[in-house]
Amino acid sequence: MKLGGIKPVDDRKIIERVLKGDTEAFNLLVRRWEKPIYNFILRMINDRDEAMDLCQESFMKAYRELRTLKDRDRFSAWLYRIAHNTCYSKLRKDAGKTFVELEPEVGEIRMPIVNRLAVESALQQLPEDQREVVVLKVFHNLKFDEIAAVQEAPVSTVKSRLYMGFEKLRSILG
Amino acid sequence: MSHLSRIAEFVFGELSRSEMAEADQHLAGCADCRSEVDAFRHTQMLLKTSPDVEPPRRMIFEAEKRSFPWRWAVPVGVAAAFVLGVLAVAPIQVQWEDSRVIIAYGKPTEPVAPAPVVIRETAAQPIDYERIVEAVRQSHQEWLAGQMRNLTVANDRRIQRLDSSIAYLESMQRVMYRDTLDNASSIQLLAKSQLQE
Repeated sequence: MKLGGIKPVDDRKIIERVLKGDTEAFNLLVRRWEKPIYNFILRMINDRDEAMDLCQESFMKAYRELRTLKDRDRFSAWLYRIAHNTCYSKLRKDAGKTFVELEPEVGEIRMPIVNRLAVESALQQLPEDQREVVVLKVFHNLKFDEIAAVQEAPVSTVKSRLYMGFEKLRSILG
Repeated sequence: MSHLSRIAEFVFGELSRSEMAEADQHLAGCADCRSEVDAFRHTQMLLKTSPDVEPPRRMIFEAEKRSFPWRWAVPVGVAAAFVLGVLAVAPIQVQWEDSRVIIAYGKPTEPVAPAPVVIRETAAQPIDYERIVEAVRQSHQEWLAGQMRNLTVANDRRIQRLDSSIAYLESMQRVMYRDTLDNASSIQLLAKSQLQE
């Protein structure tokens, strides 16, 4: 089972070295996964500095709790789960704050705007659970059962979140 | 094939080989599902126009080192300098005798000989306060230099973070400017086509 092109056996060997006391080896895992985890968190919370802090927090937690990882071939899914928890703690903390939510323009002239800002803005208009499924599926190539493990939800729920997310994105992006 | 529930798995390649073949066969004869699949793929393609970005800074994990408690360096240094200064100039003797440490101040008294009395004149030895003050001043300066170095490192990190934020905002500004120009020309074309109608 590959996640994003990286074989689990490579992660497994590094984890074994870390657990034997080779702290430097953990930096190999960080080097490999910091960009995907950072981009996952960034697309969830849309704040670069905050995303960097949460990314750091996720890796620190992973380092502290590495011994609790049962299946060393599923390190990346476990790491995404940690990043998911870190994101949601932040999102829950911001839940009381007022944000301006943009409704998709329906009935007016819409042009298919294909640029990075439009995609970021469109993703932020999705509910968090739908956004997470779309991000993990489209950008991180996780399978439905892996996303279900990250979200601790049934596979059928994950699929319906993806469909609803895609439908809303279609109305926004054209 | 149940239309809605399997389109995502088909588009993302999560069907088995036989299911994929079955889906291909179905799509060949179902325009609705073909249109759904195309719309799905189109949205996926639009999303992928937003590439991943590099994190603004790198993370490095280091093994915990037992650090010297530098906060005690100054008081210990001052105390040590004072003690050494006093020992150097004051007539203090430390002796070990019968498992006891004897610290005596002043010159050891010599047994008085019954022979003729010798009168000795000894000059008073003043405490060298200047040397002690100099030692304290030096250790304080070293401590200050260390504090300044730590502050400089922290400030450099803050500056680096700010620089990367500024660079990101500038690149976003350039993208928005380009998009504004593109949108303006699209609006013009649309207005023109509407007028012609």
